[in-house]
Amino acid sequence: MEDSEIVELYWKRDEQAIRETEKKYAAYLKRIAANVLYDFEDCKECVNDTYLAAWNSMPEHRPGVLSTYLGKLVRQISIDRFRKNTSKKRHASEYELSISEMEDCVAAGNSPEEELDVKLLSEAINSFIHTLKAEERHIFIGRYYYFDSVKKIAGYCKSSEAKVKTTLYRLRQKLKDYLVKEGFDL
Amino acid sequence: MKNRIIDAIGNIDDELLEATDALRASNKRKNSAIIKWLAAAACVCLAAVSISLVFPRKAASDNRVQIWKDGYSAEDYFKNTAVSTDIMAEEKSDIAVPYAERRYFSDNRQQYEADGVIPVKDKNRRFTALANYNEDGSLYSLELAWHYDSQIENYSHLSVLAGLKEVPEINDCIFIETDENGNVVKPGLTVTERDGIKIIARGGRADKSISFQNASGWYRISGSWNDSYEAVTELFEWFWAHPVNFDDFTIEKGDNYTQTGLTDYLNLLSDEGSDSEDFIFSAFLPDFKRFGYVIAGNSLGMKNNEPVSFNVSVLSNLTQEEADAGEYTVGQNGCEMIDWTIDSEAFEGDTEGVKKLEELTRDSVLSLKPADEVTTQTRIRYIQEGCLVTIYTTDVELAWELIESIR
Repeated sequence: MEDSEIVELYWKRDEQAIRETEKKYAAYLKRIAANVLYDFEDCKECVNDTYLAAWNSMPEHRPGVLSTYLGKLVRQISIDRFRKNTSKKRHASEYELSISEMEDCVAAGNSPEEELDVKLLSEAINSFIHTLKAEERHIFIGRYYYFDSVKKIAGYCKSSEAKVKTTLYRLRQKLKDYLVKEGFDL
Repeated sequence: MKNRIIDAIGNIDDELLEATDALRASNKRKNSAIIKWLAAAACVCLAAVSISLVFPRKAASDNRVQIWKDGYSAEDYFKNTAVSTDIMAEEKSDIAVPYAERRYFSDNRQQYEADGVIPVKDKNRRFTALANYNEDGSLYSLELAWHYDSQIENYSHLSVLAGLKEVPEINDCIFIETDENGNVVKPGLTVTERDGIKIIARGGRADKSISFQNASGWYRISGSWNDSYEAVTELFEWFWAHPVNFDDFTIEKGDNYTQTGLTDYLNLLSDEGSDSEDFIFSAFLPDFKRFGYVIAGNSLGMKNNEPVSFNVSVLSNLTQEEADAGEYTVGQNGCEMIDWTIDSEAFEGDTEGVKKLEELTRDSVLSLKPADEVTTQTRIRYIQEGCLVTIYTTDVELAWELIESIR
């Protein structure tokens, strides 16, 4: 079934929408959840929560590309679950590893900047990504949006793991400089 | 701050995400071929192991079979365990669900414990028991699970999959364990012979299970990443000593959950509905019509043909005809949506810390923040007459007015 037809089912409040979503995107969503969370049962629950979130948000939303929209939902739900679950670090998921890499960009730990408006930061990061070359964008988004492993990124970017690691390091430094230049106090 | 950056990255423009996602997908298709090849290779290996189990005297791997004796421990069952550092999720393929019907038996936990059908596991508070059936109503598989997730350090998910014969995996996503160099690590396999029956234990981070077939049926007992080999072995010992009587789980005995279309219930949502007193959830719902709302959609959850949950979505600043025709955009021209769900069977863990309806205050509701950046909806929850009520709304003020009207 086409995405537009599935979205139409959501707008008609037809529960077939969830079944069609599951049929088409279950594995895709589980992969994103699995990059954030360690546990498979948690992944399954987050994917189920994603169907519910989709049901609750359509209408009002009418996403053009359903996979991207669902991907955003499952990413956020999985991160929320991870933060709720993790009072103590026990296992290193790709999410944990990628977030620890971000310490290159900012000071670790809580600070007054924790209150920074996410929307302003989002706009700045979007602008930053638009300045990057295509390959750099894929590497950055692959690592920090989808939380893919370095090995996996190297696979789909047809590059070596060493080069991906180097590029990521360079991008973090560039992002730090960019945000400072944009007036963010890191 | 780094959390904020990760959150902000979550709002990357869609067209940027689509380009990267397309690249990831193109690579995945190639990987899928490799995975399928690996799966085929694994099947060959499994077939070889199976042959060695069926014809132990002729098989070269006979020396891998250990003989059970008194005092045999979890360490013995899982003698060959694999050490991995990472787990990758990969799409397997589209697999049709092989059963036709499903029934639930979760409500019978205490009775099953008293009757010795299942062990007592107080720490794992959430219990699920369900059975799947073939088209002719015969049992396909039985699934039992004991779950705990309130504290990550004590996370547990112990499960039993059982059937009269081996139940094949039906997951559409498989998890592959790898070492620090990215090489695939297969769970270690240990085979123990006990009373003439082969017991197969798989030991790894992702796959920690014991399976066996005896006269009563086939069983696979599994534990999560956080469950110990001892916990899995303890559950195995229970079902070794207390085989499942599958007649306890016939289709007639289970609870049947269904969702209905609800057309007949629309009129019951207003005080103008002549039979509103008959609708079990009437007292839980505000008079949406009086507040100028119309119905966008609703669904009634039924358990054995009795209502157990209800969901309704309402829209403001529209006529019912406009809502039915879908001629509206939420957030425009004053059109807002509220989603109202009542669940009479909410799990106690989900209601912990949730206030009762009479304890809610305007300030506590208005101070709630949207659940996430994407939907911008705020979730309000409370307990009313033992039911968990969950409201999703983009307009908390309006939602509070509605809540107040039913207090």
